[in-house]
Amino acid sequence: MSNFSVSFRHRDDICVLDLTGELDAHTAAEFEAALQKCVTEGDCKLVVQGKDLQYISSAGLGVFMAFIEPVRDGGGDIKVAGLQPRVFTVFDLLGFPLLFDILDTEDEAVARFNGSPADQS
Amino acid sequence: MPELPQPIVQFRSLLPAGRAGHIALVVAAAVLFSALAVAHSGFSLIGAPVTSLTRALINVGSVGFATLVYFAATPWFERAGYDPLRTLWRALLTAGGLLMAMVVLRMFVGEGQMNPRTSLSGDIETAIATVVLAFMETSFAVVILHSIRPLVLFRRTRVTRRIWQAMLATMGLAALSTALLLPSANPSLVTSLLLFVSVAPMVYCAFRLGWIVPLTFRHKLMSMVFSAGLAGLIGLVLFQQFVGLASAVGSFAGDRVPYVHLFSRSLGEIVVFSLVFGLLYTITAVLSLLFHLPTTQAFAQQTGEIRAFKALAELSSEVLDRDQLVETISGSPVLAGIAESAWIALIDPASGSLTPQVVAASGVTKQDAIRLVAIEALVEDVAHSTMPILLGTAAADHRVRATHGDHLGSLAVLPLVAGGQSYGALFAAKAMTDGFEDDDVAALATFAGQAALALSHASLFQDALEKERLARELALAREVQQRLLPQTLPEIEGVEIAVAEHPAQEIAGDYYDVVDLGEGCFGILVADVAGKGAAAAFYMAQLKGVFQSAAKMTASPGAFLALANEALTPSLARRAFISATYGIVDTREGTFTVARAGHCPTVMAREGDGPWLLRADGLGIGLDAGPLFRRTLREQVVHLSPGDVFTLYTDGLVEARNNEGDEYGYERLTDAVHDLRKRAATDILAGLLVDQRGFAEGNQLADDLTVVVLKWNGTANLLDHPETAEPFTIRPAFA
Repeated sequence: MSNFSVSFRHRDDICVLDLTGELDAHTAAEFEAALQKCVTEGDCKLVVQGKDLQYISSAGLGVFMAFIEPVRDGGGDIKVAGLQPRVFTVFDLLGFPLLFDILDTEDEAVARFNGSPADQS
Repeated sequence: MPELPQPIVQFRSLLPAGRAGHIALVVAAAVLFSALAVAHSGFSLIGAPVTSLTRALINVGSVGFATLVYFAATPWFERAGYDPLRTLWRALLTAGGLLMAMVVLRMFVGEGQMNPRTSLSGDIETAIATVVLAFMETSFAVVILHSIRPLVLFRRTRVTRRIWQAMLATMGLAALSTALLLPSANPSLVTSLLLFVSVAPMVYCAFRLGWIVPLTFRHKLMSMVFSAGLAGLIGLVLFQQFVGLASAVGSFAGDRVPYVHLFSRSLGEIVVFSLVFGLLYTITAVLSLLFHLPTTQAFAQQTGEIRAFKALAELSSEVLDRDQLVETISGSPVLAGIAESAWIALIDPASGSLTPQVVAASGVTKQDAIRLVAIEALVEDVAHSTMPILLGTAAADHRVRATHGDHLGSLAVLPLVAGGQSYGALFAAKAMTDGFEDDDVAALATFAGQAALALSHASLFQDALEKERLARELALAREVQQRLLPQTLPEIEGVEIAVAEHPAQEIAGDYYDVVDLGEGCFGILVADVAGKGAAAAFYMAQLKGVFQSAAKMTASPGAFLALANEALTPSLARRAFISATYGIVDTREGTFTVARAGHCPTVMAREGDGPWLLRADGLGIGLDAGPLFRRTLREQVVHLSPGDVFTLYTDGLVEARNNEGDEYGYERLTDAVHDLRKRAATDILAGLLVDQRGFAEGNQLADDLTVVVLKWNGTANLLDHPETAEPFTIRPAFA
């Protein structure tokens, strides 16, 4: 029934999480486990690649909220890249662009890590 | 007329009963035998021919002695029970021991002498040997009879016992009929007739072999060996008797004297008849065992299943309570006699552990059961193969920790598997090594299968109970939550309000409220707590509390949302947040001021213009502790015109999907509201929901749904009409 999957890639010291499918209340646990794994393994520079993400519910957004603090405390950040317009709307409505770096492409997100430090207000 | 008592029954009843009676019998036999021994020795020493009367007395006395010994031995043999294998084994040992003793004695005696004139012992040495050996041979015959008796009387009827008694009686009578004869004389016609008559009950008894059928293969083999051995022993003694008799008179070689015949011809005949019957019986037993061997497997299977199903019949009548069930399952192999101890280890994911736990034990304590074997390893192995594990020599297995003192000889581990799910294992143990026969394992396996089925039923039942309990609690929570929503809406001059709310689950995360703020102002709040269920309901209740207490403190929607954010953020879990839209209608000024905390944009429709989505900036509640929230929050002020329609809603409305997976979306929503804008608020709401449900093609709502439609029927705002392209202005909530 679950049509959500998450996989890991590494680009240098940055961990890229590819999200595919629909991130809702049922699949949020899977994403949460993936992020937990990153944090446990000490990966703090995270890029969430969302070009194949079809849908996100408030429970899915809640996972981002849950992890942003420990990740930033560890000196890293969660950056979101490549969201489809429909999914971006959900992020945008809640005001996520004010809290997260949401970028058009994965390369931009990686560059943001490597270039200027995260300019979070 | 009084009925005549049965002679045999009468005879039995004449025998003294109880322990005292038993002692009396033994004493009587000893006294009688002593008298006979003295008489024999005396007459042998005198050397003169004895009268017929004396001989008859000795013979009758000897038959009496044999009878007394038979009855005196009865309690001892009866106490030993009716297990065929044990009976045969004991018979073999006793008879073997007696024979050995007799052989040794004959070796010491050397040559025996018979006085041809008296037909008694020729010298004192022979006389002593005669007395001792006559006693032993009689004992041997009694042992044989008593050993065969429980086998013949296995599942006896009254008739069987009568025939057994008739056989002994005719033997005794035939022996008595020779009482007057010399040892060498030919038997009389009466004797032959009586012997002939005794053949019928002998043959009948020799074919009473019902005890063989239920034996296991191994027990049959053992019984066959024991019977053959017994037949050999009997044959040896009989052979000795016949060889001795054939030599008839004169002097005998030491091992060939028919001593018992020398002692008393009648006693000798009793011994011979008994041994002939014993030989007949053991030979038929050996042959019958041999023929029954091939059918053992099928029979064993059958009895095993019968036993298991019998136990299961009791099991299925049990209540579907797991604790009671596991007690019954662990107790049944012991009750059925298949094992001496049994215990059951279950994997219960509900307990949060995948380690199997010993939940019930019978014939052993749970602590011992855990100590004796490596439960986890065995459960894992048996669940993996779904085949029973049978350890004939338990101590040799690395998974068994029992020491010698624990008396764990053999162990059977049966998987409890039903519907492809493994529930754990049933352990059965015996002190004896190789204690489990094929039929035992078959019975245990069938039993374990059915027990697993019963467990799965119990678990389903438990789940159903739990579900029902949860459903009841949810229904109750839903009822409580329903009361949190406004029961009546305030009447607002010039404003129509229509509301629809529909939870996707029993407990929703949606909230709306309308409050009269005084001075012609009314606040309308629509909020959505992230997530559903109990946690969402708690946050919703908290939000209501904040709204009820703080809404009246300010006429600015932004100020209220900031207050709500600061009040709620500390108590919200890190991943929880609330999105809300709060609008205030000022009926005197003719304005609608709305602020959005991360919530879906309000749809605004107007006569001859629009529609618009009012989506000024604003973070969701709980995303930021305060400063950022306040800094980014914007208010949108609409200068009302008659017929303006505002639709506030939660994301359940726009996220409804059709069968292609497309969302209803903002475009369809604004179009629908635009098309419906001229109608009354309730009709707009109804039409909107029809449109949305029609789009969703009857798909179940994935999220809660709340829709509030406001329609402004008041006057136009003429006081302060700014010159803008859009009918609203946007300003920071906190300047």
